[in-house]
Amino acid sequence: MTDAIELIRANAPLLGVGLPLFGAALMLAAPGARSAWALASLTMLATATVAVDLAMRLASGAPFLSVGAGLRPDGVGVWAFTVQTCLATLVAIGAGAMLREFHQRAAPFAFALFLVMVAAWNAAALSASFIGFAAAVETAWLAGVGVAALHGDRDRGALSGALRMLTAGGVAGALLLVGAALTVRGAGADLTALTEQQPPAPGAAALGMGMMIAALALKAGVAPLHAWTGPAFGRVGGFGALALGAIGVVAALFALLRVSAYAMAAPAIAVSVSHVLLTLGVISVVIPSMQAVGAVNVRRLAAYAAAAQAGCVLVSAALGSPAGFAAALVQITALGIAAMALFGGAASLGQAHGLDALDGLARRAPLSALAVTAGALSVMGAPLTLGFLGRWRLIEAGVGGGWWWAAGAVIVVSLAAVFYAGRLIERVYFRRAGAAAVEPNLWRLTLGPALVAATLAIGVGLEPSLLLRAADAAAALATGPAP
Amino acid sequence: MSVEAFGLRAEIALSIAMLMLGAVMALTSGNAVKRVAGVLVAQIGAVLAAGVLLGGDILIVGVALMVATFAIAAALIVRAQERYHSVEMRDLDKADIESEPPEPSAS
Amino acid sequence: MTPVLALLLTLALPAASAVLTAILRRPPGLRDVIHIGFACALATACAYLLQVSLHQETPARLVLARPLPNVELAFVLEPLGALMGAVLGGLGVLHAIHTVGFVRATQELAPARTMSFLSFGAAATLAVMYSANLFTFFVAYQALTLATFPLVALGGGDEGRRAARTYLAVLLAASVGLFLPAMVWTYALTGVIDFRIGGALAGRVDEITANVLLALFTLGVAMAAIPPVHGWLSASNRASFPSLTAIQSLAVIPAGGVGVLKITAYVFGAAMHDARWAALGLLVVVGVSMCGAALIALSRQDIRERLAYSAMAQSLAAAMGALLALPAGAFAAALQLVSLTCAGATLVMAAGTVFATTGRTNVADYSGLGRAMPWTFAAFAIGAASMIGMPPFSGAWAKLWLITAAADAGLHWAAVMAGVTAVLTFAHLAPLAASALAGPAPTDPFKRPDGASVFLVAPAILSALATLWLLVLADPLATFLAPLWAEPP
Repeated sequence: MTDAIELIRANAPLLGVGLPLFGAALMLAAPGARSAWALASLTMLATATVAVDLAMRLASGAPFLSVGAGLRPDGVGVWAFTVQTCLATLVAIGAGAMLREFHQRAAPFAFALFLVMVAAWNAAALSASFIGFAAAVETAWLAGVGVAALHGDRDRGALSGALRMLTAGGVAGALLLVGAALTVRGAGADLTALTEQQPPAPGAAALGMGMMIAALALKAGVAPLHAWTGPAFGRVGGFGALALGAIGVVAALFALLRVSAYAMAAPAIAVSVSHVLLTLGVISVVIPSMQAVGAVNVRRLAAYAAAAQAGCVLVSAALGSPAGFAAALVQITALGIAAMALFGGAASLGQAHGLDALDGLARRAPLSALAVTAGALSVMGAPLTLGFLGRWRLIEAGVGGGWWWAAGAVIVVSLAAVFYAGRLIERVYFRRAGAAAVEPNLWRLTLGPALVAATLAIGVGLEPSLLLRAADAAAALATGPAP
Repeated sequence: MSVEAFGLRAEIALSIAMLMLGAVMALTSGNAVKRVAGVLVAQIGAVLAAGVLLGGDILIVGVALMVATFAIAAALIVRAQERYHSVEMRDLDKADIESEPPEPSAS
Repeated sequence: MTPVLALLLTLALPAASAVLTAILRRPPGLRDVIHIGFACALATACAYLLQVSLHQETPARLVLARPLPNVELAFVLEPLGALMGAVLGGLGVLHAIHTVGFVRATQELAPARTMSFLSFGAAATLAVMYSANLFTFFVAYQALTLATFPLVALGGGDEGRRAARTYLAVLLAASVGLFLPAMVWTYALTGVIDFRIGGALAGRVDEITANVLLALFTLGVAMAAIPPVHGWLSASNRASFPSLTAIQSLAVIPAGGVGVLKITAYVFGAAMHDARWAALGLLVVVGVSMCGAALIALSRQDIRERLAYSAMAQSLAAAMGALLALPAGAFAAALQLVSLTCAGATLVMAAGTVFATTGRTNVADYSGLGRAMPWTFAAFAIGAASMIGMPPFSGAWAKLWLITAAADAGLHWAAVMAGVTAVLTFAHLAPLAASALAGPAPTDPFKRPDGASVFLVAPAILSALATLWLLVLADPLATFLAPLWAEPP
């Protein structure tokens, strides 16, 4: 038994990819929607156990593993693997209440695509080589498109959104592939090649990294490359919004942060990469904040809010310091948890997606209202929430690096968030319910994960020492252990 | 510069040009089929560029992703035609807007 | 009971009251008993804390959380907070009784929700008063904004919601856009953001930084109603009378005043000398606005609007005292806040009693009402006299110290403005009280022919009597509040 556990532990990264893929394959044999959901939940629970165990062992000082199979864990990778797997587990469990979003026969496919997406994002978080990384990101993206498209049965708008995802992501995929090839040509096949030696062709490596970052920024919904997010988030159902918003966007940001960490560790290209990140970050702070203020669709509003947060993440990463990467890790985690609470809470709105569907939610569905409120407060960066913690860390890192204006960027995001998140809260508590109805029987499963996320958004904000210590440790090992 | 090196650069330039052309087509065309065609052109350019730069394994990865993209794109276009009775992006937007009020743009 | 437990209770009791009144909304008697009972318990805890702070050597400190490295969510028993907490706790009992009387007399919609948010507001206000550092102040300030914004919206329909949005937008935007950057900047400069006797920034900032920080901090505390961030006050003046009492006298404006005073005394302290240009600019804005607000009050016919602008003028007088950066100025500001709290609450509660009994809010309709409601208008007259600064009421001492401090600072124009404001306050309050008491009794029937209940009249009278207490306590208070202007240890 002990040997078996040790074997599992030794191959934890491989299992992080393999288990969801195995679960996806089993979906083909699932007779119906409920069995598919149960299978997906079990698969994700097993994967999350492996991920949390790996993270805890590394946090307690266990040596990093080198497991082969093209995988190589590092600080950012293990953090990403753990957070996105745990979020995906919550999504899978909560999805039990959203089975009606799909035809009976389509549900297993939706879960299979979701598991493939998770497996591929995990592979991107743990991949050792640039080519493997690019392949994993593209696989995850295509699976995400599939999840969005499967919602087309109930709302044809989801098809339009999926089409936009596909075209924007397809172009980004082309950029990612060329970027990866250029980086391999300029530096070497593995991510560590950037840190272990002077790149033989730094120009090619810098250009390649720039292309990869642009491609990943598009997939993470970073402005101005976020045109796909509005149509896609706006019309996919609750499950799609959770899969794309709480997992897809978050995992893409982690992937972006991971390659950035390697690039910033290579002096020959660090400055160029920092400029790219900074430019994208500043744009992404401003434009989506303005769009979110005017948004009339709950999920679209959340997508724009996420893009604005992503801008802060990029500014943090552009700092290039361990403090900056730690701030970015905290912010992405905060974003994932807030998205989980917001989208999970909004799932009780069913097919309704206008802001007016939130009117009087506190009376109709108090627990949903609680989740939405916690998510909105965290997005707003209200004190004592995880969102505030992320922003404070960015300001600290920015001021520490002499980037005073980074505090200005945070203020812009927070000010805009006061308006749009405040609007959500006002509608939830101070409006009378309109025609929109809460989906019957939805609360039982959907709200569990959303409430867990809401509790985390507030609870970790109150006692963040463990999270901050872990983020600092992960950021210090952003490019893996010293050779 | 040797003829071989020049040839290599020309091949890369041609591939990148193809990628850019495809990208413009994919992001600006008003027809969903043309957009998908643009994506495929861009990806073919990318695969060619990557093949020229590295050769070997990356071609397999690129082609596999291209095929997957094409398969999903084809399915999406068929479904869009069934549900919207059109593959013009303008018609799709119009139908979507009719079922939801527009929102102010950022600009 | 230990001081730390009492500090915890001052936050927990109103929060518990808020939750219980929201849950146990029926029967109304139970709801009202809970609201008044918890207010009494809170007043006891606050009085105990004041008693403790008179004799303590080391201030009691309560740490609730440590959300960031070197940053605590902490509360401390310092003299200004203890004094204001005790005043607000005591008046809170009267306000709770008046609220019960008001909702019963007017059949107000959603009374339980009103009481609940009033209690949340009280918890947040006391958190502001006892805050130990800028971060805790910021958290409590945001909580106070969020707790009081529903009070503006409740029962107001679409217009109320619009007003509430303006209220929320101005207060949150100012605190996030101005106060937060200033707090972060201070943290970056000093590494700590604790309120310290003598000033956390003293000796640590250059002149330019000090000036910019003072402007950011002072305008960031929009609850002090310093233009141009005063729009929330006019947006809120259509709220119900119990809510107005909280906003204008017992929660929001006092929180703003205490915020400005804590910042000038405990964050800047000796560094106010480095920030003298910003202070001078702000003093000009405050002085002109003070006169302007009193003048605007004169032009308003709705009693709620008149009292709102009157309260704004008084709040600005407190800000002026704080910005003078002299011991006499800080003392004047503290006295002004106490005086505003007592007199303002008296006036709004009296106006609320008039509304509940007669349905009147137009000042032109007040003529002769004092003959039918002598107790209420006696209270109104005393409150007005205190607001004006007539001896022996509490406002007189505050105005006297303010004018003296301005003259000591060489800012004679500021002393003149304080005097002009007193004259304008006399103009917009004294004739109103006089005509109500001396005019012929109205002949048209009241909304409630049986008159005002004791729940409505007694709190206004007791609150009016409270304006007299500074007469005997001015000297001990000066000793008690001395840490406000002490040199750094």
